[in-house]
Amino acid sequence: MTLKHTLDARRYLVLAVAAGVIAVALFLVATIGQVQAVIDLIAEQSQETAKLKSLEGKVVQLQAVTTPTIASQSELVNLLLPSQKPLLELLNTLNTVSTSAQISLDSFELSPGELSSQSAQVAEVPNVSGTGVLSVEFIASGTLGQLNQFMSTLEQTTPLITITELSLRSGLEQKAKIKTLEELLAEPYRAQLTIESAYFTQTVDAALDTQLPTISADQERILSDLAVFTTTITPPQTEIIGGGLQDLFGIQLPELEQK
Amino acid sequence: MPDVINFVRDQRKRLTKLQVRDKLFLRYAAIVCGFSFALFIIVVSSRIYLSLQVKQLIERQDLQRAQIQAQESNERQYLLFAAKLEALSKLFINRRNKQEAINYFSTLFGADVLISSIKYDSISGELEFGLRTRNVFSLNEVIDTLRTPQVRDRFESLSFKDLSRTSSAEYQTNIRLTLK
Repeated sequence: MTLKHTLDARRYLVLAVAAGVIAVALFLVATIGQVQAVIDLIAEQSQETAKLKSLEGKVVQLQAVTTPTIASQSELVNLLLPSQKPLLELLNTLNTVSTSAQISLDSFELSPGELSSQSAQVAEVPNVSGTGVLSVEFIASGTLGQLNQFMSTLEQTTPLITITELSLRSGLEQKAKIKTLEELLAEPYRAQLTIESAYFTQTVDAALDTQLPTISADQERILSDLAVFTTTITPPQTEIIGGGLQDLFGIQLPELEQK
Repeated sequence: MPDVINFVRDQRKRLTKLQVRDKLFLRYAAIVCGFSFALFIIVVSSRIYLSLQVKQLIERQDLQRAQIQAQESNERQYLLFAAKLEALSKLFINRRNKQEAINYFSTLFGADVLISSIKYDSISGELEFGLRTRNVFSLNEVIDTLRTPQVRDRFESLSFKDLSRTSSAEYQTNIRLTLK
């Protein structure tokens, strides 16, 4: 009776206490938990916004890199640094350049390696990771002018060739002691050359969320330097020509077959 | 006349006073409760809004990813191009130094001097080339030229070795330098 009377008399206080308890409970139980979730969402939103910007940037970059200029530069770079040992390309280039410089080549020595063997392991270019070298030795014969033209053209032709060793000697058996400059220039020389051709061995992985690499100013300069390179395009070898047992040396001429 | 003591009236007065104070407490409590509720509503709304925003961002990301995937072959080609270009730029630096040195020395001497051999070690960056001179006077000129400050400043590591004379009275020497 007394409690009921007291509660009746202090009903506003009871309501105030109840409201206070509800307010505190609402704040402690519901709001604080939600605030933490909101803070996490704000962090997630900024993270996702950054990711979206990065992806949008990549889409723009991809649109920019599909221009014909980049495509032609890419083609030239692929010719200069092919993704396989450039043996055929190298021989093709040597043939083209030697014909153009009117010199003769002989005594080829090369070690292209064997398939699926220890010797097939690539010889890496020092300081340049992800590249291998194919080394070829040969003798080039011609006058000094022709050899000079041959060597300077060789280093300006695809694939990328670097002359690492050169040994020059006169092609004449007997030397005249005193020669004029004209005689010296007309004299045949034999140049023992070692050349190296680099090729690309690295594997390239594409990840969706990573940005495309940018081309630095130095690389831009190199791309402009590449414009002077002469390209020799070697058709890819897709079949083995010959190998049949019939007419191995091409003796059976059509006339003979008709008879 | 003695004072009248009215307990009921005093009690009612006291109660009225307490109820006025209680009403004030209730008002404050109601304000706090309303504020707390409003805060709760704001926080919950923010959470819903942010969740929607994040969802939209993820949807837009998926669209962008689909666009990127559609151009996967272009991306691979470009990545290969960029990686090869980086390797080429390193190779070019080595080559350029070598070519510049050879061009410099081939124009440094006169017609009586022939560069008869070149040996380039790409590992150590050492470049060695043999010079053949037609007579001892040309050899002296070569040595004097190579000792000039212009040449020494440009190639600090320059050194001579293996001086020899051939049967046809030509002189040969080797020059070695390390390219930076």
